[in-house]
Amino acid sequence: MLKLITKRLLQAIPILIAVSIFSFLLMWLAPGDPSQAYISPEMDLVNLEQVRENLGLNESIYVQYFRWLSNLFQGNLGYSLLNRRPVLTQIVERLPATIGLMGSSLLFSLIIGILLGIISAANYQKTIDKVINFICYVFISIPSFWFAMLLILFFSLRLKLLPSVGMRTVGVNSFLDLIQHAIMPMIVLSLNRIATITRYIRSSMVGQLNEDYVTVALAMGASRGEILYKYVLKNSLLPIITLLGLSLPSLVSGAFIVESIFGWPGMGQLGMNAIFSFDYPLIMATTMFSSLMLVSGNLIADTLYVLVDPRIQGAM
Amino acid sequence: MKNLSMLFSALLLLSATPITTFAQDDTSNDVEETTLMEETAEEGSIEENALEGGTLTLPVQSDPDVMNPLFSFDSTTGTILNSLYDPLFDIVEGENVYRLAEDLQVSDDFLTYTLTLKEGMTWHDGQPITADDVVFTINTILDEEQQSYKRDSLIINGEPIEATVIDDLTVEITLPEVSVPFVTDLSKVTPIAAHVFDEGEIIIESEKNQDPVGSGPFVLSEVRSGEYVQVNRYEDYYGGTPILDDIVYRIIADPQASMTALLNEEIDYLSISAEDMETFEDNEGTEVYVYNNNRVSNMIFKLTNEDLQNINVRKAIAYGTDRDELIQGNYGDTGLSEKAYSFYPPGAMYYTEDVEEYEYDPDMARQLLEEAGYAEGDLSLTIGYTNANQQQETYALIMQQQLGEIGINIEVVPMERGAFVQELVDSTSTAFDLAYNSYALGEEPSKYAPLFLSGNPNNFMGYENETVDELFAAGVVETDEEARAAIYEEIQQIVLEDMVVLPIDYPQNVATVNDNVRGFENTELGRFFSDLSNIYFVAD
Repeated sequence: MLKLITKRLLQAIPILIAVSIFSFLLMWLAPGDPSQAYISPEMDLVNLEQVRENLGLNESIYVQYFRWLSNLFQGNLGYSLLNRRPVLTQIVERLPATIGLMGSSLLFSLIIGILLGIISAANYQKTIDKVINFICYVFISIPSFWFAMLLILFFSLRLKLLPSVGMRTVGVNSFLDLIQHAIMPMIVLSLNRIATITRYIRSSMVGQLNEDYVTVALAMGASRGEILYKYVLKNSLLPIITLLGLSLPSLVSGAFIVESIFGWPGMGQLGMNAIFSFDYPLIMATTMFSSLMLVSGNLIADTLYVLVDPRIQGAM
Repeated sequence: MKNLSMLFSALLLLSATPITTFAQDDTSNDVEETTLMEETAEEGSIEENALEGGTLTLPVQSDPDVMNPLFSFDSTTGTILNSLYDPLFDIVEGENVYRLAEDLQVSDDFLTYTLTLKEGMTWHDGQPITADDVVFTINTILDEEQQSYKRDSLIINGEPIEATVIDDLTVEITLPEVSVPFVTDLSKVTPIAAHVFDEGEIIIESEKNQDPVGSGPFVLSEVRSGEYVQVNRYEDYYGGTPILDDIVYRIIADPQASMTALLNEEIDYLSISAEDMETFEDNEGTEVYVYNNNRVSNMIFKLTNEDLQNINVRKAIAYGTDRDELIQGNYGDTGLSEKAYSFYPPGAMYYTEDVEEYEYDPDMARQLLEEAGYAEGDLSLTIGYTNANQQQETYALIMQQQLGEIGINIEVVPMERGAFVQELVDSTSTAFDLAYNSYALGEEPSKYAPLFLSGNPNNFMGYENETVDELFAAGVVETDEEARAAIYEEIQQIVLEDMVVLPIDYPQNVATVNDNVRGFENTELGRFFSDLSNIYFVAD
């Protein structure tokens, strides 16, 4: 087990380095650079050459990359080119908002998804199964930005029930206020996931129901409910581990579009601002952070798999 | 996506009328029901139902950059710093409007400037604001290590200015040689507190910028990354205690989200486009204001294109462009923009209309093309613009048609902003031949020089004219008002005669504000909230 984890950790290093080279190259190839922040109609004209020099942009890409890499190995993610604050501090500031939103959305989708999946599988091919299937297709197909706008129109502007933007009312520090701000983005983020989880659980349970052990159990007089919850559900939860592992990076990388529409102060917004303003150190840090989470998410999922189902270890 | 966002705006307005009135935790209603004290109303302009206190909520697009007026560069930070730091003085229509400074005297030889500060002013930490702070600020800007982009403005012909403390409230500034625009440059020097920073500290990287000690009407109270920046009123503000309790700058990156927030009364103000003006004019609870910040929008000719190196081709394009139609296309009958003849806005000093006007004349355009040796359809050019900029797109599409009529084939090249700016600022770029650009550079005419000086990185056309270079240089040292006017008028005539830039229009800015906010109607300098200490709410 330990050997497996060590092996996977070692494998992660070249992956992360490859990601960093690729991101750095992409960034460098994209037209524009951070000095563009200094060009706007409201601004006095500045000496752009001087700005580039000050920002260290006139050096070659190799020099810039290796400086970044050597800083990284010293635990220094660098400073934002825009506000000159440590990149790490900014990420740490944004993490709670993102983890809170994405975490509650994940939890919410798990509960609803598993529930719908069970109902669907238990009523396989019946009307209720078909209705749930239909709902799932709708949830998967709805574009999140469109749905977000509809929610805002209805709950904020028409009913005046919920605030349309931000994470809290300035000066108010209550949990209720937080919930009021979080509920719409959370729902928007959950729809797709609910549908996916429901479909996974359903098909996995339906598959299990056709297994021999179910027939045997039925023949031995076990009740249908007992079989469903005691054996089938337990076996059907395996694919959820993979799904959860894959969801881990989104927990910390946030959601660009939804965070932007709802003005949610999370990692998605931070990353997007960084990209639009060519804030190289911040782009690299958020990208690397997400990659790291993806790699660890996979690792955690695989480890859990082995723990839950020891047969798999041999195969790995 | 654009159509979608237009649909969304329409939907927004439709639903703006509430069915139920739900009490939001709207901080802007958090106002004491007392009438303002007499002394605040000294100008006699404050309304009777004015309220003391309250929270004004303004939207900004992103987190602030460096919260220090010497190093900040984006408009978000500029907006926030406006409440935290005061300048020495502003220049409004050529007159000094004193803020931290009480007076500025210029010696007869225009080489010595004596600046006197007001008495009894304090920084937000209670320390007095003195001449030391002004000299420290100037020296910090001049110090190359400190990387202030304002440095160039205090270097005159290669030599730095020199600032010395005369007494607690007096600073003497010596110029290496005469520079008439120096007063404008000095007005843009916003003092920072000397006692806050350590000796030799690289200020742009200092953590102390997170907790700025300013001189303005408001004190920083809280910054929440991605959420808001809150400032509280500074009781000891030298200009009198501000009326508002605090100002909250909400960070809302998405323009649609800020519109929703305004309609949902989560913010009090929003800068909008001309297109949205009509819809907001009918909206209950908000007022629309139009203001001018001396903006000029124009089209530049990239002289990298060989065809455009022929002056008759450039003139043909100018004559072949019906600017009235362009303005109509973007602004309809709103009157929000006026046709431009000069590259200076009418608010700039020495602006003149005594230039070649290039009124629409397609026959003249065809004739000029013929003289230049082009038969109809011979000439093909590209127009570049930012794809997200709807106004530029409208200009490009109308011009494509107009120039088609005089026999020039135009291909429009919409580009992502980053890519567009990169090609625009590169005077050797051939990515497009014509491009739209706009700027707002204020009243002082010499500040526009970088746009036209040979070899300057801000001269995107690649224009070179020795006479223009010399005239701009002469304008800086000419102290005689009339002679100076003559210089800048001549520059306008030459540049327009050379037709390297076609001025299109002078667009106004539109803002919409919750109708219980007062105190900014007579805005100055095009900065909508130039004096935040006098903003107040009125009772419904």
